[in-house]
Amino acid sequence: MSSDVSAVTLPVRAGSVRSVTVRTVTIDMAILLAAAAGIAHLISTPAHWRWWQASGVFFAVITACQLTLAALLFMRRTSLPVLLFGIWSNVFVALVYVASRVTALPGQPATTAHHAPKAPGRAFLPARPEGIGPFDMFSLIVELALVALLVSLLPEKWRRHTTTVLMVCGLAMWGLTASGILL
Amino acid sequence: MSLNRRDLLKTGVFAGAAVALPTARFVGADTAARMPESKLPKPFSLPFKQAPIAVPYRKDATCEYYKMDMMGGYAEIIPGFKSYVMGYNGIVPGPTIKARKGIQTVVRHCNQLDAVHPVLGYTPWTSVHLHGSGSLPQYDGYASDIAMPPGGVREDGTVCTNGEYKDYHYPNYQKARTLWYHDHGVHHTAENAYHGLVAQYHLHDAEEQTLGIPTSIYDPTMNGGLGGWKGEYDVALTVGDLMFQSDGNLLFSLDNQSGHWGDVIHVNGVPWPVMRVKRRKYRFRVLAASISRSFKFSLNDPTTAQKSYGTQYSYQIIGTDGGLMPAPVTVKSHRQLSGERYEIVVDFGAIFKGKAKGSRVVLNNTSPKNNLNYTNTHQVMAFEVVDDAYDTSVTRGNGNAVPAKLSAINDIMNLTPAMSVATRRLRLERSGGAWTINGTTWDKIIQSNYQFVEAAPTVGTVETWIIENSSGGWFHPLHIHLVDFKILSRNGQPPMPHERGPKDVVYTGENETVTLLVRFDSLGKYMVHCHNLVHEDHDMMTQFEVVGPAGEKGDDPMYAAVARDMEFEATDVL
Repeated sequence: MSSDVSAVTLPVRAGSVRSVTVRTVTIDMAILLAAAAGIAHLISTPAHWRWWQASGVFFAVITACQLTLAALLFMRRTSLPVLLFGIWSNVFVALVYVASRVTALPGQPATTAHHAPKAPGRAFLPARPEGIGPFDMFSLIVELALVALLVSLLPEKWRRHTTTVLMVCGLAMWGLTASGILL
Repeated sequence: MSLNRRDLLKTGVFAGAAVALPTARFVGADTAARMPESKLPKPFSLPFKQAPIAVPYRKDATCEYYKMDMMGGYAEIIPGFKSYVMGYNGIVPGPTIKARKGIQTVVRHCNQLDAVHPVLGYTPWTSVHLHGSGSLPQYDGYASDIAMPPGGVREDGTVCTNGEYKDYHYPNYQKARTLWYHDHGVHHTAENAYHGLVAQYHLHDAEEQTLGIPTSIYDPTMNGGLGGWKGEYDVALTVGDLMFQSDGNLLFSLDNQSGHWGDVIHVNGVPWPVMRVKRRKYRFRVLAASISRSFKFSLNDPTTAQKSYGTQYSYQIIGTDGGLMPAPVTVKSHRQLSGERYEIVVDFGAIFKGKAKGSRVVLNNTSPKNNLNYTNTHQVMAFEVVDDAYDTSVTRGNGNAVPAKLSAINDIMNLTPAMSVATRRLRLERSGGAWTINGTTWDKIIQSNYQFVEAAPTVGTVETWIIENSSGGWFHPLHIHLVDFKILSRNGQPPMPHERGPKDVVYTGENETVTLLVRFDSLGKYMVHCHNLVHEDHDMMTQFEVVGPAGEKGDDPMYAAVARDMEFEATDVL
């Protein structure tokens, strides 16, 4: 170990057998990804609020969760509850994203094109799935990478259970799609 | 990090689904399997056809009334395959309406399309624009003034069970010209027009009927007294390009919102048709009804080598968007964009002189740059000569001449820069991923509740409009509603010979600046947009408002005549 690395002292979980260096890098990457995802959602919150207030609130909550996670990780709070909170909050966001891109969400408002003001007697678009763009795809990939990093920090037993549940979620999405229910 | 192979695999199942499912839906919508070229018809193997002439529903001394049902259904465009199309009265392209100057037309357009497009999955609301007509604002096909199909959802959440209809009033006060009516519904114009909601509309006047050129003649006794038209040598050519999915349905791809280019060139809905012609002059009303493609037409001897052209023949251009030119122009090719109309006269007597019956010439397309081309997009249609005799009686519309002077009085072509009272610039550009005109999109118009206007010229005045396209990657056919204009210059040079007539669409090529003289004859808000319909839908459209000297305003395009539910149609006298 170089002297630089050995100088890093972390309040790592007792009993960890993983390299301190790798764990440090993993946590630092997770901090960056959580902050990036939080900022991305913060930027998107006003537009979603104008379109559909419920989605604006959702984005605000996501922002708060992801920035809180970044802060906790920055303070080296890597307890099991923090990691599980980080994993499942981001998994939930990813699931909502997928749902919003393949179907209209329950309660999603019908809207005029470009979210225009409605006019008396004018027709408008029925609710329909949102389009995908580079910005939201970037956020999704950041969140998935964040989930993978946080999973890697879990204890063995929790990691096994968590990845199993993730796999079930993935299979469910593929299954709903194949059955025609989701698409 | 300590994810073992099994953990990675399990996590990957989730991550893969999260990324792949939205992407697959997005990509699937745009890149459905294209029909292989082996399934497409060979060029010049299918017979030419024309759209039928529309018959009025009724008429009186000052007006003719039509009823059009917009309907979806399946048509065999590629032999052996059924394609979902949408047409006026279920016909693609729709019936040609023929009108006489001074006799108004009212067309009741009923949206009876499917609630959801069965291939593309959108709701096909409609707005009908008569392109080339100085219609009142509420009858101009204002993009956001839409009619819903049966099953469409209204503002209050109720379903529009019966669909909606609207009566469009057309004044027919202008000079003889080739117009066309097509869909203009906000954000779905490209898909609606692509699937067939386009048709020609011919306005005739006394001057045009007495020049001795091939034309059509009105016969009041036809169709049980409702009137009809005869004119074998006055031929509509509606040219476009399509692409097909392997199941026969039309494939529509936005290509990053740049446009849509098909691999099948069609004329009047027939892929690369062959038309039998007599040894005489024909007048062709050429409408480029493509979504994005621009053409450079020429007449050549047929060759088998791809993109190799035989002898090139001259033809005469006698009319532009706004009607007859002051004098015919002889050319060997001309450039034409979506929305533009050119009336050309081809003398098959001269072309086929000394050639045997069955000889052919081909209308080719030496494509302007920045189009996507495929194996046979350089060919349009063929003409095959027959030896049939023809009626030489000019009085029946069978004119076989092109006089040296055409339109004796043409106010637009007589405009001079000295008449201009203002100069405005329109910048056509892509900004932040959006197509814009002076940085404005139709979204801005909507957000302003349709109040924002790019310009407010005074009625009766002439202005200089300078159209700028500083991009080397795109061309834009700019269409200004309501008006005819004269092209003064292109990059400081005189306009091309075929552009020296009254226009309402101008080719604004790569790195080009085009200067127009525009006269504003009536009040109201009207649209200006790119006629690459993909650009128009995304969202390259703004508006201007012609006002009176004291600020008087015209009718409101959104609210002066709204579409009504079809339940009222039976009792609403047309």
